[in-house]
Amino acid sequence: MKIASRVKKYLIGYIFALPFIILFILFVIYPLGYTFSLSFFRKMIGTSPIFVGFDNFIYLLSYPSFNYAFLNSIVLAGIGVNLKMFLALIMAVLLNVEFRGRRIIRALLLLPWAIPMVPSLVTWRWMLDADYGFFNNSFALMGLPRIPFLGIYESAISMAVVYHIWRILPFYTLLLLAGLQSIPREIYESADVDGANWWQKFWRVTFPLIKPLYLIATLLSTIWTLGDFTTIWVLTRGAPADTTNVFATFAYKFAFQVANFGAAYATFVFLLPVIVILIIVLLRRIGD
Amino acid sequence: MSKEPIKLDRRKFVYAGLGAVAIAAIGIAAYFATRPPEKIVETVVQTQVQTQVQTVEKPVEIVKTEVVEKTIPAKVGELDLWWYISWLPEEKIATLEAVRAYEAETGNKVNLTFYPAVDVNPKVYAAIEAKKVPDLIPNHYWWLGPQLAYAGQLEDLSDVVDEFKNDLIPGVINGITWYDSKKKATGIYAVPLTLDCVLTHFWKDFYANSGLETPPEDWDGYFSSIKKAHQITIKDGVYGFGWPVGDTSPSDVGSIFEQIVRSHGGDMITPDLKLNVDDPKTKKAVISALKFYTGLYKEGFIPEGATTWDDGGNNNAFHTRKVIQVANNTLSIPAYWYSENKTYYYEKMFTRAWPFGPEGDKRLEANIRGVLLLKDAPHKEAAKEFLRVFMKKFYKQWIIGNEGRFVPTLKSVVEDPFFQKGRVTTARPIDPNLPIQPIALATRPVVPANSVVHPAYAQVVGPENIWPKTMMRIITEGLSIETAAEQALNRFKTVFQEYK
Repeated sequence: MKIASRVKKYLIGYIFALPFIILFILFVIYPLGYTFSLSFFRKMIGTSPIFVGFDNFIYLLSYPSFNYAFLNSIVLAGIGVNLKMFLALIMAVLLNVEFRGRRIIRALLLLPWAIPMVPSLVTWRWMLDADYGFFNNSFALMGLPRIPFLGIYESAISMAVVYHIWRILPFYTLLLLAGLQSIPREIYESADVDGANWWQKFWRVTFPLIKPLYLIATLLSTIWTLGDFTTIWVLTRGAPADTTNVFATFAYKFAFQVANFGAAYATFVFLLPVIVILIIVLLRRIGD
Repeated sequence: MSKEPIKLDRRKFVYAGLGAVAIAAIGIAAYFATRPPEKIVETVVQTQVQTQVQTVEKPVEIVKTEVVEKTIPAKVGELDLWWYISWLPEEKIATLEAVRAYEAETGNKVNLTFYPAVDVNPKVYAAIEAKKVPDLIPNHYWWLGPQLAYAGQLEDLSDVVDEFKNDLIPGVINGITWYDSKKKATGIYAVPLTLDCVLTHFWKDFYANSGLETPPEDWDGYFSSIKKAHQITIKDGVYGFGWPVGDTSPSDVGSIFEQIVRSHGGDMITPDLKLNVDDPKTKKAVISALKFYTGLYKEGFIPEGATTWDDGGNNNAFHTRKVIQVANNTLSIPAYWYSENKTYYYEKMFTRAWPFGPEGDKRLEANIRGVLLLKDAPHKEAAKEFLRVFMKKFYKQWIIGNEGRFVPTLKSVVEDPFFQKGRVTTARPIDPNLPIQPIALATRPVVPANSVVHPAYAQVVGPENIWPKTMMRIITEGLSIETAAEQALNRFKTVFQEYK
């Protein structure tokens, strides 16, 4: 009787949620489950999958340069995202100050984000080119040696980080700026009455109020960056010596160049626990 | 304040009318400027033929009319053909022309789709996985064929190839005979269309700094002469060699490296397709090749940016006159200059075959590219009929239309003066570029590239791009040549185990 009344109570809710549940199963649970299950199978081009246990994971861990996928993810998502968010906060605070031409600067700031990703990456590739690029031609004019930026691991991955910041920074700056503008003026006025200086106002008023947004934005950006394929693929193709690959480019290479789909699925599964943890933290933050 | 209604006086009406007429005229002009591509192609082809007939600059041989057999090909319905977009627009035109001619002759429809060359292999893999495949696909990046055959994804084409088997250049058959792991048997899985090997192109004026007119054929003489010229030209920023070094794409750099290993007497696989990397001679050849290639870069004979070049990088370096010499798989560089500037083609540049090895090894490694029929193709019979008719009636016209970028696989076609003498005219009796490749392949010992004959080798050299990666580890990570060679050879062993 109790159960029946409970079902009755929630039935209407389940019925309303049903379309979403069906779509979620179809487009999220099924592909995720399929990917996860196939990571335990040897799946070569056009063949039926054969169960191989953890062989794909062992294959990946013994694959030359696969360890760089971990390192590069840490560099891009760890250093790149946090540096970008920190810079975005500074930019947002600066743009929140009243000054002449602020609107024009805000509009100009959006340009890198407004340019489609592939053309901007191609432009960057050309600018960094060792033989014909803007930077190296300038170096040559100054009598300095040419640097193959994309031919050395350290500079290539650094350029990927710089590109990431250059492109995505405006978006997060605007996001944080919107957050800053939603802080009521009265709080600042009472801080003024209490004699707070600029830093105290930022640290005691602005940052605590913007912190939830900052954290959510950082988590979202981390998740997106971990899955980013385009930046590395267009900028370096994983070169030099496969060292700038990330999980997404490795997965593409395994699937569509080596035609080893099992290894490609396993590559994504490596990333899955990290993404899931980040999503859980994100959801909790949003809940808070 | 309410807005005043717009008053349309006579003058404004006339201006508006004129504006409308102008817009309509621009629209009509735009329509005619962007007519369907078929018509544009027809125009191009007609112009080309007229030029050939009227101008003495064009070789007389091309204009010769072929005697076409009068047998009427079977009407077998439509088929789907995927092809690649080349560096040269002429290649696309030649393919379109051949397909249109086939359609006109047989009444069969060919659904032709062009893809960028680098996208073809991924698209084929995706199509196979999606179980929605075309009929015919190019084996342009030649490691695709042996791998698909091994995976049991190709249809045997022995019956098609049998019809012209006796006309095939010796050795070509080895590059299309592959193992099918599902059938556990070998078969002929491609119609071979082109041959190519590593060639070298020179800017005549830059090379003249060596004090020679043409490079010697022996290894030391050949390379030391370029290095000598480099010492002078580098002052103007012109490097000795335009060789790609990095692992952005596999085609040219892999072929050049493999050719160097051969020239040093290395045989990575035996004639019965066993991995031969433990053979001391082969190991030594790999180490020597790594030392030689990376040495050129480290010593500054190759531009710094070569570590980031893709397949077009060496072409660009030559076209922009940044290098004295360039190594390349096909004749795409001279073909570009032939269409761009004939003076450059005939007078300012020249092509030479790859030099003999340090111990005099004359072997050349040939890539064999062709067309494959997928096992699950929806129109197999139509595809086979297309291949039969194409090889019999349109092949010669097609490969000549490729501007001599590749060497034909048929003896009867390669004997054509277009390939033997090149584009000679009364004003320009010597072609310094085009005949070099066909003559080299006809006069020197030729071996099919290992990646054309073995699927495991194809994987390591093609998609895994082992050689430039190994070179980059030496150059950027400071790995010793011996260690790098050992790691590379171990990778071959690992992958060969997977293909057992």
